[in-house]
Amino acid sequence: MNWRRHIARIRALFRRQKLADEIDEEVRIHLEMEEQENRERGMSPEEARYAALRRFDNVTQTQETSRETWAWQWLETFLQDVRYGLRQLRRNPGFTAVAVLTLALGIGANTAIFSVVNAVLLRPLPYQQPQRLVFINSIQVPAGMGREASYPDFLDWQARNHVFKMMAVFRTENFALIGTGEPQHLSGAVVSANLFPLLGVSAVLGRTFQPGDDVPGAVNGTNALILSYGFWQQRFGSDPRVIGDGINLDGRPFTVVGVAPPGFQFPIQSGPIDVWTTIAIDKGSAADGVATQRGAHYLDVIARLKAGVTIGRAQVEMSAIVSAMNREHPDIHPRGARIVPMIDGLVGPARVALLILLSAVGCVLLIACVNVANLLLARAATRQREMSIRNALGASRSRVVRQVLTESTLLSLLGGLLGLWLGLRGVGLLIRVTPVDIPRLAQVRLDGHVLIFTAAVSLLTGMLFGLAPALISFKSDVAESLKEAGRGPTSGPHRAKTHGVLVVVEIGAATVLLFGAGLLIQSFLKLMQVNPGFDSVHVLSLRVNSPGAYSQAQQLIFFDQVIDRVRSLPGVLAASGVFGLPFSDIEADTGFDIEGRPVAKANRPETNFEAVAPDYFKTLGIPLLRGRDFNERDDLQSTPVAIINETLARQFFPGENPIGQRIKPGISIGYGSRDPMREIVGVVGDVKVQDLAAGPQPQCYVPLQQSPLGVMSLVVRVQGSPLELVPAVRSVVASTSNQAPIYNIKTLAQLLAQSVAQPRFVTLLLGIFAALAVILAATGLYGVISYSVAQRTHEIGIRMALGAEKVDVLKMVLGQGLKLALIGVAIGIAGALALTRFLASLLYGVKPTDPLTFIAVSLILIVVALLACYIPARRAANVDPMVALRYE
Amino acid sequence: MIELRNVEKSYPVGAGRYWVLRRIDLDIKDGEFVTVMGPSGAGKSTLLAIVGMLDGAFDGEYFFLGHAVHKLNTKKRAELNKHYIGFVFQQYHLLDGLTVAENLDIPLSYRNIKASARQAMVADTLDRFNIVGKKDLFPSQLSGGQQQLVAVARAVIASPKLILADEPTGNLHSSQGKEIMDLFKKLNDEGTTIIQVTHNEAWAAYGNRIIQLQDGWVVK
Amino acid sequence: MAKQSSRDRIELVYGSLDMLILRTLLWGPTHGHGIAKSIERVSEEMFKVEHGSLYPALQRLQQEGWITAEWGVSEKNQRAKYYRLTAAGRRQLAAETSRWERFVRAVTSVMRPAEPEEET
Repeated sequence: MNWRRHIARIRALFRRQKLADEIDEEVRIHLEMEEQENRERGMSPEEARYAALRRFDNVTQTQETSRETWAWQWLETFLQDVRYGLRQLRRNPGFTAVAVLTLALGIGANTAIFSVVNAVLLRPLPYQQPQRLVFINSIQVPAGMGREASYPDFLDWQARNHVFKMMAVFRTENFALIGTGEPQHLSGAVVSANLFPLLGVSAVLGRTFQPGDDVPGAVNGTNALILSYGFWQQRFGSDPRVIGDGINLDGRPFTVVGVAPPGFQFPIQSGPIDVWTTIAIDKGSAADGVATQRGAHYLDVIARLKAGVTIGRAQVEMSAIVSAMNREHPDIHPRGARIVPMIDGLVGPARVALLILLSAVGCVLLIACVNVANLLLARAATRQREMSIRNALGASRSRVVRQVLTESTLLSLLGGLLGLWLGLRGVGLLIRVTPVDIPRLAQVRLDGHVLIFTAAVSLLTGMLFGLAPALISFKSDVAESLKEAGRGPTSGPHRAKTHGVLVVVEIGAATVLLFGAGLLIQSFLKLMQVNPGFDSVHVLSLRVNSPGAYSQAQQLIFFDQVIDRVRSLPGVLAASGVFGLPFSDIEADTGFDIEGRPVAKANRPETNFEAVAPDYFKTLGIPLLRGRDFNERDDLQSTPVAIINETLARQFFPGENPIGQRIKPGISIGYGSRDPMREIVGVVGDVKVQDLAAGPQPQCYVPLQQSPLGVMSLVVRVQGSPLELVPAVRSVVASTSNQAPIYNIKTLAQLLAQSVAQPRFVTLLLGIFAALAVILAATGLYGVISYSVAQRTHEIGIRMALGAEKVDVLKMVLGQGLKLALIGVAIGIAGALALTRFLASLLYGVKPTDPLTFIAVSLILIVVALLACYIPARRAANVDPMVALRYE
Repeated sequence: MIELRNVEKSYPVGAGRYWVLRRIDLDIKDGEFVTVMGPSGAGKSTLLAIVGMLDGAFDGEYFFLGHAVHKLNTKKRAELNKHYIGFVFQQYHLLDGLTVAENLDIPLSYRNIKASARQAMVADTLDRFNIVGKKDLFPSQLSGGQQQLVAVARAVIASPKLILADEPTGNLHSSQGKEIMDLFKKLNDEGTTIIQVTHNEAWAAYGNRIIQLQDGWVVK
Repeated sequence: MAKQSSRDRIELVYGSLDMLILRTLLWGPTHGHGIAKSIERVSEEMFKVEHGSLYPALQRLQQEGWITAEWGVSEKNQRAKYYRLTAAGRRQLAAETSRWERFVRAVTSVMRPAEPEEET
């Protein structure tokens, strides 16, 4: 059938009557002609007429078929079904409302979660051919940890590989914009010059970086800078003359070479970036040129695969390159390279959680479907007679099934519409309660994919819940059901069975969800009980940069002064400084040597490394177990010292007194090229660094005065609310230097809460969905038992006449519900056992097969089931046997 | 055994009342076989329901074996029903989903009898009514007469003192009907009190007394 | 003209009626009755055309755009709908004809396959 025929038919739709009349007339004329011919051959008029009719065959049928060729028969039938279906739904507003609402809840939850999944996992990254973009992680061998590469490694990778079109490095950096007034904190990224061409992004004004920009002083003796569109608008009022302007960041001069296009964001995992500059700042800086150290793993690597190169092939090549490099540099810890598709690298951890949530809402929808199917079934029972009459009148069975399916699809589309609205409202709510560390979440919005998804889900659910009643009306024998409908009360055992099966499915699904939620809740509670090793209450933290132009000695004095002045503020109990605050995403690890135990450099043990000012342990409430804290006399001129944590002491100095022993961490600043041996002067308690769920690890602290860095987190323990102290701290810093920006102002408690925001989020959502599932399953059970009681009124009457008391009837009905619930719970638990291992990666301190959870979940569901059955059971117990027995 | 004193039953209809039973005074002694007759709507079934403790919403006094039924609550009445009364209905009222043996077991299941004893009683009754071969059949597999036979067996299985039969032969051929009536006669001879409702003069003759109801009044 | 006994008549293969109609209209526009008569005449009444089956076919061909219809007046001064072959209809007829010929050749060769084998 081609398009021409369709057009002809569409036109025919609008002039049906005329067409039909014309065909009738044509046939009449034909018959006249034939009749006339027959008469001319000598037949009597009567004979001629009959011969013509005979020759024509069935006149009416011809007219029918001729007309039908012009119509999409199915379309007309469909429209008729739709009209009829709508009328049916209008006629039962209660039923329609309950069904539509149930479906809307299910579809809404799915729409909400899917739009998150769509934004976070599915929508392509906003770069050219994003599927070819990969991260190359430099990992420790054999532990497999780590991500960042060193610049020399990167240069070697870049030079030796044949599989990548381009390879670039990037890291984030905080800058202070120095101008008039208080310095403004800027989020910046330090990238290799080829990053923009690699992403396929060009400047909206000026240019992006050129290859030469990687060299210090490439632009007018300064480094090149690209502004974000937003920063350009806000700070420079979209002035195009900004190109070529000098800008002072951290006291160093930069030259603006371009403005990035609006909406451009890179790296995605951090917040919005204000400025991009090149790796040149890492080469010529006073800090020993971190870009020249092969052991300094501090850069993320992104690359674009050549056309036709698979990840697998690239991985093989990179592994070979890295092995060769390991052989060439025996004094460096051996590294590996792992290639991760960019999207996976970004959303990896969130993926499992989102997929689990998506399955959970799928479960909720399934339960909603089953509920509506049950409603339809109950209604189908009352409409059995109508269906039978339709059958008897010759409607084909497929026609009746289509009719039923049309109705259910209408319901599901209404539910889908309402669900879409609910879902979008839900997403708004979701974003507000969601941790910031799910990348791309802010970009959740309604798009074609979400619409298609919701539409598809609605249609599918319509089919799904419509199928059961449709099949039953299909199966039912005409004569049988006419009889059955007439008889009423004790009819339809197969229907009761279908109801039962559906309810079991519901309860099973609810069990799985509730079990998953139970595990997550337990896990979350366990996580909240973990002692981080410090006291997070009443502690303010904020990040301070020392003025960029300061020498190391000036930096030390600056931080010293700030801490001292803050310490003397009213309400301050203790104050200190630290380079990488726990749970702030800044941490350093290093290998270390123990005096008297020489090992090959590659086999050195690893420890977490931290530079802290005096009073740090006191401020955070970390117990000093042995020895002493750092003090003002621990500076670059005195003996290099270190404090270790309990775990390092236990692991490396078992049965010995670690105080007085000497170790040499692989990081040192301020001592030139040689790392100094440090004397252990104290032992402190273990602290969780980034992850409450992580096990204890060795930690090594050195005095900030013996490790001068340009940035630190100020930590302040206060008497009252930490945030109330912020203005005072701000003025202290400003009075010490007007070129030192303050940023990342958070309480320690906030940082800690942020670290569990994702588990909290997943637990909360799964809990909500599980509750929804249980409520829906309970209403489903309630509905089915109510229906069954209504169906069994007569039977109950007989039983009462034969001696059943109310209690007996109550027990019978509750027993019926309980039986369904128990089967459902059993199936659900079997399902949960099979499925919870997918949850394992999200669990802390709870086994996926936790027996306590099983028992609790089973009990909850059984109690809920009994409650759901109690009302219909009471109704059954109050049946008046006289009425019931006459009910025929 | 049964004393009804000025028993009345009515429904409010509009401003007035519709009387189902009026001023019924009736005494039935242990071992009697009483037939209740009267046109449709005369209140026969209601009378049986009140006597059978299924209907407690009546005025007047009803003494059953010395219990003042009119003062009892639903639960107490249900207990009396359970202990002393068996019902037979015109429509048999067997449960379709249960076998003959299971149907017979229903009254026993509500009477606090041990499972082993119940099995024995069902077996005895099957034997006594000569329906052992049908014990695993479902009601739909039986003829009307056979179904009523099972229903009677079910009514007597818990050895009631009183059997209330509401048109037990109404749906049966006369030969089947006779069989059932002979059975009632036999039960009556063995000491069971029987009250039956019937329209059939011949079946009425099985009883020793006929009570005529008309518009809720006892007319004879 | 002696009538063929109905036993010898050939039932129309499905779809071949379309071809016959198009073929008939090649000689010029005519009305439904004329088409029926023409097919019978040309096939020497071998084809049994139920006149009734003609009209659905005519509607179908119109929808395909192979023929057009127009009201006109017959030779006997009767109002009648005349059907005319379109250019697309001509192309369709050519295609159908060649396909039909291939079909006939194929059937013919299948019906007497043994002959060449005996010769070898």
